[in-house]
Amino acid sequence: VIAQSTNQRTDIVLGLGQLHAAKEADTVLVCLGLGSCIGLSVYDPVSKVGGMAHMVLPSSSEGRSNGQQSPKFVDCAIPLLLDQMKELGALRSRMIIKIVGGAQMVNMNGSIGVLNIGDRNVEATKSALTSLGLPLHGADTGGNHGRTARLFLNSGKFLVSIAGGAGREL
Amino acid sequence: MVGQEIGVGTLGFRGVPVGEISQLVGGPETESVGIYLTVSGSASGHIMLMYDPQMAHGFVDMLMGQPPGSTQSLGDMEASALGELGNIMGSSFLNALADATGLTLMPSPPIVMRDMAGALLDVIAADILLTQDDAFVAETSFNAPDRDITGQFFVIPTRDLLKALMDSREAA
Repeated sequence: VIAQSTNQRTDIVLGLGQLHAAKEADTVLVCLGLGSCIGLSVYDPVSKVGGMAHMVLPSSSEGRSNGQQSPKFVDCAIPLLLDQMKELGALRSRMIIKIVGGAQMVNMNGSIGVLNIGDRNVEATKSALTSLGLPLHGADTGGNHGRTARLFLNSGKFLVSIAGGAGREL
Repeated sequence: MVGQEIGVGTLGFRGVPVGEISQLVGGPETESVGIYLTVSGSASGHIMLMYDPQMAHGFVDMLMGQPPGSTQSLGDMEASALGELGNIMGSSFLNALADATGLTLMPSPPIVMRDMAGALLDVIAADILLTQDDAFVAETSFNAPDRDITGQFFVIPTRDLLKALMDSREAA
């Protein structure tokens, strides 16, 4: 996690497989350059507690991932982030949850890489939220382009931008 | 196609956390052109050449024999020229590696992409992070005699290729 402070705000930039929960009003949680990864944004507008996770892979229990417990996996990151937010005073029933990312950056036949990773990350995130009984309030996912996501804890504003483009609110 | 010699610096592997690879090209949000190939054969891995868009345009001018500054955007023709650069760089690197190790290593056809560096590198990160947190990155610069063009060339072996490289080095 990289924190960059100016007079007005502190940007907390989450790298691959990192998550962070905070309640300081001047904090902005950021995921830069998401491709197939998912940026999960959670905000409680009453306590103004916010959290973000930069998730890379769908599941800690399948194939070569071999049971590693790490927030780089969707199934590990989501409960961990919700726990950290609860400790700061967030209530589940008030949580506004949005996701961005899950793009398919390359389309290769016979690729050695992880196939359809973007789509599978989106599906894993949605099903993890469903099984926790949490509704999804917004999503900008799929396609074949990168995205940057910013959550402003003072207002709950959530901005998504693409390369060379202005941000739009989700 | 090029008709001139492109100098390539020495390749040395070093360990970098997967999440920090994008810092080598100016950070995850920096717009970049990536030329991506996978490696298959005796072992697998990833090759990604990354440039800032201006530099990629400079390469297209060089490859297509145009004066510097001619290329202003990446269409199909330009992407195809950069793909050819990926072919040349990838094959010569893999041939050298094969000669040194006795492994059979083949490059895939290249894919040329333009986007945020982090998004381009996700293609590799997802595969590497499945089994480990660090990548071994070979980084090099190269240049042409008549113009000032440098670029980065990342070779990221998966665990089996890295092991094969280590084994062959021990055997030598």
